[in-house]
Amino acid sequence: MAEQLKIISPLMRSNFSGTARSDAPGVHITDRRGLALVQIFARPGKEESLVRRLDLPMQPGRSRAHSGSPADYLALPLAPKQWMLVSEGGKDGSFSQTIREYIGEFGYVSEQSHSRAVLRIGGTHARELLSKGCRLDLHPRVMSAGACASTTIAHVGVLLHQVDDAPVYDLLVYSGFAQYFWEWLEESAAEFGLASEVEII
Amino acid sequence: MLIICCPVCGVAGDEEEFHYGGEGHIRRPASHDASISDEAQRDYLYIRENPRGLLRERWLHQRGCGKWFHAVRDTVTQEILLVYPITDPPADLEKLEAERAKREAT
Repeated sequence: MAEQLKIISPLMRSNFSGTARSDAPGVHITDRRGLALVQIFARPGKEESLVRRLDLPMQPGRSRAHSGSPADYLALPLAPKQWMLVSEGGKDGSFSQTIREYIGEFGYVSEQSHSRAVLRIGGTHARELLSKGCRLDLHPRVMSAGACASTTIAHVGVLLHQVDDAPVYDLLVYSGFAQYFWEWLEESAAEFGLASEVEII
Repeated sequence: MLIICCPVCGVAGDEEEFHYGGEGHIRRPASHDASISDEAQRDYLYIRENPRGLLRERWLHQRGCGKWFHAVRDTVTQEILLVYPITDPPADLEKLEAERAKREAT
């Protein structure tokens, strides 16, 4: 059983390493391992009840951090009536179980913890790096901290969340594409200088 | 390359995020009248507007929120004049044309 609870990442077998490759890296990439991810869907006619119950963002394209009962999490809108909840605890399945029990008949819950790699991208050239493959307008006049969008970067479907105005971004990438996506990031960031690290949460 | 604003999630995305769904507001006649003629059924399947100017069409925000919606596009200038929900009745093209002429005159 202990084996099943081990923290794994889709990038474990890649050349993702925790070393700086440049003296003054313009981009920092962190593989955030150990987050619990849960996708929730509102039942027909229960959207408002679910939103109130879980303190979800109603405005499309904006995230919302919740703390307190039933748990601390970040809610990211995926599509109408669908959200992704990101929690820093409960990857063993306890987070999804808590949410499932808490929302009852208001919605459906799907455990997604191992389905995505979560990459945090920061540094002075973070926006420039993502602009190479992302077709959304990342300029501060359009996107600020808390902005969230499903889109494609380098032809891979990602969920993009702007963490702060530095800017720092979190990207949720499908596990099967994580290796390719990391290689694309590595090559695209080469001109800025790249530092990468692993964060175990 | 078109920049399209999805009316469902509000994201202004590149054309590559979207999938084109052909002309909008086409109803399958046999669903509403069982005694419909072969000609009407043929027209439903094959006859399309193909105008030089404004066209109501369907788009899918495939790589974003995954929802269908309607758009009015000018086939000459590629300008998208209006996006509106998939359940809305057909947009008034004459009104849109008039509004655009007014905008361009000022």
